[in-house]
Formats: sequence, C-alpha cells, structure tokens
Amino acid sequence: MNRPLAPLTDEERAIYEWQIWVRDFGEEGQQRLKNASVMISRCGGLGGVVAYELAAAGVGKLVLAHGGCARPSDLNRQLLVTYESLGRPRIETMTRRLLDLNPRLEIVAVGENVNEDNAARLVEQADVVVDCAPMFEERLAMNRQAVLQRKPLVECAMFDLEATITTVQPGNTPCLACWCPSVPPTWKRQFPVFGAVSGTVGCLGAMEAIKLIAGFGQPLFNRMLRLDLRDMTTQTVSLVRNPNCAVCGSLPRA
Amino acid sequence: MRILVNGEPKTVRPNVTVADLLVELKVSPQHVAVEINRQLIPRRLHGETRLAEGDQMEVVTLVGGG
Repeated sequence: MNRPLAPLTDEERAIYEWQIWVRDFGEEGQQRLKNASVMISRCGGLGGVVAYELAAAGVGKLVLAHGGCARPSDLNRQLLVTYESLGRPRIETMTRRLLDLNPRLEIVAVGENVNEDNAARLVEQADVVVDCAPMFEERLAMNRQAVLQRKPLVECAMFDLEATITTVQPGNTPCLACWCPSVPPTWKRQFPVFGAVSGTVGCLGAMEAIKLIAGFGQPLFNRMLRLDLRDMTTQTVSLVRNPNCAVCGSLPRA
Repeated sequence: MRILVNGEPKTVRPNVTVADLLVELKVSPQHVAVEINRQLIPRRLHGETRLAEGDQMEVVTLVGGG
C-alpha cells in the first residue's frame, strides 16, 4: 500500500469529518481508506455488516463474493438483503444497498461464493481480506490465497451466541490452517444465528480492516478474541504458528 | 493438580491426557484446537499428551458461521 494517495475531496472531508477526529487516524487515515480495497467473502449476516461499515467509513473499493438468490430465512440477519429482493440474486441487492449509502464506492460484485478456482483472482484485487463465509471449505480456500499473496486476513466467525475473531498477517501470525488444518467433520451449512450476534462480530471485523489499512491501533495478531453473548463474557486466547502448517509453515517472517 | 484453562484456574486429575480432559470439559475434540504452554497440540496427539502442574492450556472452539 505504498502507492501515492489520492487526496480527499471537500465532500469527503465533510462526510468523514467526525471520524477524522479519531486519535491516530486523521485525514491521512481517511486518505488511506479512500485508496484501499477490501475483499469480503460472503456478505450475509456477518459480511454484510462488514461491507456496510466499510462503505460508510469510506473504503474506496470493495470486492464482494456472494452467490445465490435471496430467501426468506436470510432476512433475520442479512441486512443488505431486502424483503423486496426475495428470489433475486443477493449480490444485486447488496451492491445497490451499498451504493445507496456511498455512491463514490467502487464495487467488484461477484455472484458466486469463494472456491479454490476463484479465490486467487478475488484476493489479487484487494489489500485486505475479511473472511465471513459460513463454510470451512471457503474459509480455507481464502486463507490459502491470503497466505500465498501475503495479504492480511481478518477471520470472523460465529455460532449461536458465540463469536470469534482473529487477524492473520501471513508469515508473522498463525494462519487459519495452523489451528484448523481441515474442514471440521461435523460442521453444518445451517447454524443457529441472531443477526445481532453476526452483526456484532461484523462490526469488530470492519474495525480490524480499518486499523490494518490506516495503520493504527493493535489488530488481533496472534490473538483470538472470543465473545459469548449469552453470558456477556469475553476471552482473549493466544494463538501460535504451527511450524508444520501445510499452508504457512514454510513462510519466513515478513 | 492445578492448571490454567483459557486463563482460568482449574483442578484436574494428575497427568490427565488432553483427550480425557476435553471429555470432562464436554468439548468435542473435532471442534477445537488445543495449545499447551503456547504449543499447538495436533489432534492426533491428544490421546498421548499429558498435562502437568501449572500448565497453561488454551482451548479454541472452531466456529465458522458467517
């Protein structure tokens, strides 16, 4: 991210004024967001909130991957999907909702979920990746490409009232495969979820991406934050690299 | 014997294995990653890896919902 930064317009200064006041962020941080691109793997209950917060914060470009058509059971949590869009491709309503909020946003909209074939070209287009997919196959494909391309990856996930989030900096922190080398055999496509839980971890993931891009604060490197919204407890677990990791084990420190 | 599980003190049987402790903690071994004293313990070694007094164990639940 060392290319020259396009300056803010007067309109952008007015829109982002209140966040430019944030300590250690400032106008330079805003310029970094404007000049950055973020790839979000699925924009449902979790990723939709990541995308909306990053669109609101003024990230210049979002690369979005989400397949399928909107279903009634999306509406309890997928805040970018609308009642009117039921039956239509989710990626269309997601794109429209984001542009309603921020028409300056550049969106690369891909109407398919991440897989081994498309992961490389999706990651190529982004400075930061936020992984919000509900299937470990997608997560592991995204992780592999983020490591190969040495792109920071925010791993956000939830189940029931529990949420976890950690940030991977390939070579310097464990990657997803260090502690989850293969698809957990009993994980199912459908899982219990309130939108308020997936949205909570979505907001945290968006903030991680903002910090990574603007270069301030301490991202969740080598740490996993776990939240249990059932009893309102939090835990920070230390994570270590697996020297035998098939994905990042041979990667030297950056 | 006293150990720390996710930062919380816990009394467990002396020299208990990771696999047995996960059963006692009612945690499915297929859904967790385990670290002892900051070393990741691969799942295949859970049955033969024994805990010692003062060990720090981290149990990381694998959740993948999005």
